[in-house]
Amino acid sequence: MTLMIDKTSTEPFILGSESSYKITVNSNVEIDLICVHDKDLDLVLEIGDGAVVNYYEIFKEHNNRWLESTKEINVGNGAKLLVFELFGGYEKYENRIVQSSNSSVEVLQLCELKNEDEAKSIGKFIVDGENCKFNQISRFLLHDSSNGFLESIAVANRGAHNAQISQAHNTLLIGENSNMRVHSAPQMKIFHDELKAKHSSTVGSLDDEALFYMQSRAISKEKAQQMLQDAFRLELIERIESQEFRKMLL
Amino acid sequence: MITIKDLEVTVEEKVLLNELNLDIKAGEVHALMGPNGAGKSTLAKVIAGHPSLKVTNGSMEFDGKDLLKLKVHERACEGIFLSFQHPLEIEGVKTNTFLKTALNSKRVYNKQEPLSAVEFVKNLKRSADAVGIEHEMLNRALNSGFSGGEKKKNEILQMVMLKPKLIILDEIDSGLDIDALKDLSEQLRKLRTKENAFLIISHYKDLFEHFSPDFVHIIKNGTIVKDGSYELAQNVFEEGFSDDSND
Repeated sequence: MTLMIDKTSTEPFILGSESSYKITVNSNVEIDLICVHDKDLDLVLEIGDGAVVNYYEIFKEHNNRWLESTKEINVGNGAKLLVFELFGGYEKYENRIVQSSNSSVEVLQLCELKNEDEAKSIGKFIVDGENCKFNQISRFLLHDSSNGFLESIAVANRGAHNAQISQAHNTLLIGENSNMRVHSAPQMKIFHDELKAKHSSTVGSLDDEALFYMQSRAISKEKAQQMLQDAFRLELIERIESQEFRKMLL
Repeated sequence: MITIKDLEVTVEEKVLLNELNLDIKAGEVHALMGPNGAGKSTLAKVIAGHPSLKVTNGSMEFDGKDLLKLKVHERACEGIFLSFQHPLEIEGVKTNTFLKTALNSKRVYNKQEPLSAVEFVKNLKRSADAVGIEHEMLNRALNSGFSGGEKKKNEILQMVMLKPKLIILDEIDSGLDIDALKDLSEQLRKLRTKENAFLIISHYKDLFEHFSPDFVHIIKNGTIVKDGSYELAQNVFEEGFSDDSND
């Protein structure tokens, strides 16, 4: 399906009925795109100069059948893009985003896996112009014997003068006698000297001292664990500005 | 209130507390002093039920209940409050949410109705005003980005709301300037009643001067080696933990 969005709208565009989209958002248009689907997705998104796009994506229940979401996004001069992906077991996300000068891109991913679930996220983020901002925060909550794969590479090309690039992969391992596995690899390729870039990867369980502190204030261990897990999710969930998408999550 | 008899505590086969005895009654203020590594914080933590500390001998009774049979949160629900030297910063958990969960957990444990959102907010604002905490801070993540003084005030706010019977202050005065310490001492003094008791751990005399403990205990090598009145603390401040003061 080919779509051209040429007007700003407070109502979001709902995607997901098709398996392939080519969408163009014209310059200076502001729009929310919400994609809820239960089949493989192939999306090409062209964002015009100065446009503001918030893209939210979630798969419907699909009974542990592997599904893939592949996105190729070009972000125009001075445009802003938020990509928020909420995912679970047997889902694979593959993103490629290219930024032009003065653009800002934020990729937020929240993934929770249980039992023997697996999920993969692979990203390539290319900063191709000056004064760009790129921020990726990917959070995995792994329970039981689940398996998370998180690999992303941020490329700052020669024109990426004065860019600010940040990648954070955070994985929380839940359960004391579990056998979860995670592959977390934030990577950078930098071809320019004058920019700021940082990346980090953390993997750990709930903080025992935080749990003790909360329990010493009359909160049961189970409730304290739940609160800390919620806190891990909440920092990203709070970033969802779309009321429509929030309703869908409920 | 709390009676500790012949307490022995170990971590990975290392004995941290040994044959320790302590009896604190309602209305009393006790000071616990001792050199670094003597076992002061270990005692505080073991009363609160820290899971890393293993009680290998002895007993602890709190208001007639066997503390060793109670989980950490159950001890707090019974009325034990350990104020941390370095209160933890917990990202993503808002102070007001934390306090509401804590207060209502305690109320439910004690067979009281949980407070409604409206009742809780009234209580919280009243308590925050009494302690001198800006309402805006209550919406922030617990202790996150708080200054040292603000963290200690937040500890006092929790005491005000949870109304514990036994308040253990583990070096609550560390890292505070003179004005902040004076303010903190004033707040703590307001909390004192005939029904509650304090166990204060500190290296500094300022808090003791503000608080005038009824009993002072010197702990060394994991056991209490000397008990006395406030005079004992004054001797320690003048002479240190010399062998003479331990006779």
